[in-house]
Amino acid sequence: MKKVSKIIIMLLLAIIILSVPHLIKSDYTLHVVNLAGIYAICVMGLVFLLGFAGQLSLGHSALMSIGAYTTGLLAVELNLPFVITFPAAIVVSMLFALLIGIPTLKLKSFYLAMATRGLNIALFIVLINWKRFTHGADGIVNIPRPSFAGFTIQTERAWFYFIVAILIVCYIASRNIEKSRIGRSFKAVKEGELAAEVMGIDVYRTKILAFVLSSALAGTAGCLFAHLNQFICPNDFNITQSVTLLSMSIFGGSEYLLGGVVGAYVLTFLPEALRFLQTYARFINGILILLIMILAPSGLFGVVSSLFEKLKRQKKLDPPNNSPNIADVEGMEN
Amino acid sequence: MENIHDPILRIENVTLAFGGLKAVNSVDMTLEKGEIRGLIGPNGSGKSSLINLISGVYKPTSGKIFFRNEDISKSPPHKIASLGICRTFQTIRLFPRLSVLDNVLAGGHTKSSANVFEVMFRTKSMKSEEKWLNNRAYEMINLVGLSGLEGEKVRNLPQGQQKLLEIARVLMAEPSLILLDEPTAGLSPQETDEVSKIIQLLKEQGLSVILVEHKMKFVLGLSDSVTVLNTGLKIAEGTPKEIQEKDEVVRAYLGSEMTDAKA
Repeated sequence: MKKVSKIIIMLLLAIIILSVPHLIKSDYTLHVVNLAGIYAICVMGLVFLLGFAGQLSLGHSALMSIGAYTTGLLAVELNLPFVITFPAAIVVSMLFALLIGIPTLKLKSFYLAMATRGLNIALFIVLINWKRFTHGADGIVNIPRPSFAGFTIQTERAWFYFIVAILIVCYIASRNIEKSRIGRSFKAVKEGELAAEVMGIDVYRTKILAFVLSSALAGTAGCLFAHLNQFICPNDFNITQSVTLLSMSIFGGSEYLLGGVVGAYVLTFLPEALRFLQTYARFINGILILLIMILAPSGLFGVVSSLFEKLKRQKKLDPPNNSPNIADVEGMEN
Repeated sequence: MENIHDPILRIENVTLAFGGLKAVNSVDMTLEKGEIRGLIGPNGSGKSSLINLISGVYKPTSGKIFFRNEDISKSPPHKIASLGICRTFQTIRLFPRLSVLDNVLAGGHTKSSANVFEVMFRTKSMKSEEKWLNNRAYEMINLVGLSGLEGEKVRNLPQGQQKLLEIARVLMAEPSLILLDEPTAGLSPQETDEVSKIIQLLKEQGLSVILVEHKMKFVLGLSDSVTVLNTGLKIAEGTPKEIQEKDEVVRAYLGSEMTDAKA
């Protein structure tokens, strides 16, 4: 019974995904969908870091820029194919995270937030001023489309399938990590560092691992971003962008991988959908985010999943069993 | 080299000072394999500090701690845990927003070894490891009598069940030495009996236990031997019977406030 409904949901999802590019006629809208997909990959990385391991990054767009510039420079300057620049982008962003994480994650609380913010600012300046290497504010132009064995991913429609495929692969890999000893160690660290430590979890290394994995997803997103837009400049990866990514993860539900995905799509489309309001668009956009966060502090996906949990529990508790629990009553207020 | 007759834990002249205050003062203690040691003393006598020293949460100011002849006095807590010393806390330190099952599974961290790539691709060895962990977790949850609550979030459990769950999480790691810091604090008499049965079971399996407790009947009934601390100093050590007969202990501790107030 459970399996059947699972298959039906999968089929429905597949049909929806396959039909999206046929339903959306404008290339522009499809491009925005594709951008949202790329952000979704990066935001899943933030879920790893913030939602699972409890560490805050204020500079995730800097890690995205590492991926983007790595692939951009390798492809444009050295004419390397996508199959090489893509993994290179991921590895370089992971190395950067390692470099930042080793000195800062030993410290408790919000040092990582400040360090990543610092990275974001410093890297932005480097990208603008190291003209010989990064082309400064002009950015890198004419980044080639990825091609595999003669087939080039050219149209927005092709990009849609490409990005969704990578998004799904990233999701499955992340989900597998979440449901393993490693995911549990992340969550244990977030819930209580001392308890995790005396259970044999090396808290310091666990935080570094979460940051590096998170950066791998940011690098993936940055790489796709560069090849989709075919143009990157420092301003694509400024502090505001980092904060937007963070908002996406919190808005969707920072403790759920799918929440990050939902947050990325919704927050990318909200401004587009409000465009008809013209001058008021940004104002309403802000108010809407505010309202939803007040009504659903655990994010859109968090609310849905806690509703499901409540339903499940009610079903289970029908027989007269179990004492009333305080935490439940607390949860009702939300 | 480890000898079969060597003590499992040897504490040598350990002092823990916070500024001028000596929370633990030149304490020597030896624990044999399979021994249950009661650790008693009035509030502030250094019992919890000693537990924190053994588990690596605090580092001794001076002196050394050996576990199976290995010096662990400078090791970080996660290293000590992976060697086989696991502990509970006086105030419950579970992972409140995770399920009962996930809490116990997290306790099995040192008993598993799958790396990022293995879990990402769900390799065969990773899956069989997870299966083993899951089976053991269910077993441990059953052992402490919490079967059926596996999916429940820990923060929804009453305190007594949380205390029991902490024991299950510790046992998940298959430790050879367990440090229990007031495992029955806040428990009902029935739940206390439950804990007492579990400790007896552990003894039958050959585990060593250090038991910090205020409930005298409980600790004297369970322990093979008892160490008494007062203001950081070891004032007595012996079998429960000897301890009860020692005048100074009775005067300082057993006789006056403790038995009536805390038992």
